[in-house]
Amino acid sequence: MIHFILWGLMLAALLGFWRVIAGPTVPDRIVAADATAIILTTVLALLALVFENGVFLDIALAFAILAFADVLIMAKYFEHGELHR
Amino acid sequence: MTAGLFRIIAYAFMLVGVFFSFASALGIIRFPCVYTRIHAGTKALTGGAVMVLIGAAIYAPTWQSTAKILLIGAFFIATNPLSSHAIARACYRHGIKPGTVYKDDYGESLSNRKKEGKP
Repeated sequence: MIHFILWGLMLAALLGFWRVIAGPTVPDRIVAADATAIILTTVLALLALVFENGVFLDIALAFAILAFADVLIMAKYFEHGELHR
Repeated sequence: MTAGLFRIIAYAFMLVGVFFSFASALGIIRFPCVYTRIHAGTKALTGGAVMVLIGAAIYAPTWQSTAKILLIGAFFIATNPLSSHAIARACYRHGIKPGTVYKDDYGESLSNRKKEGKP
């Protein structure tokens, strides 16, 4: 049963990643990358249940923090064109 | 008996969350402009991911993993609106206008601040 849920989440992540590749403008790609990262974090949390290994949860938490900082830095760079302002 | 009941509740939460995540991904593909895509990628995705995580927290065998999964969910609730607000603000200040606007309060506020000499 949990495998079907994993396949559904992976399909949703694939749809989001298609917008990352084909997005016409830069903020489209940033938004789609954010959504893909969040869906993949839930996939990591479910993989921890499938393999019964708690390391995946730590990796999921680190990945969520990295994706958040990533999106903030990309948005700031897109707004100003440079970072130190 | 109660273990089976908890498992059924966890699967129900996960199925609803997968539906919302999939609807959010479809919205990111199908919606016409940047702001509508941000709208699809924020609310539905936060709700869907948090519901999948609540289902996983009910499913989890030990209380340590339950606490970690709930921590990830709380982190999503705190940070996903923040990051999408940052993206929308960057889009507007970069010069991308929404498609149909009847009253542009943020643009008026920005022009007033520019008149007063503030950044």
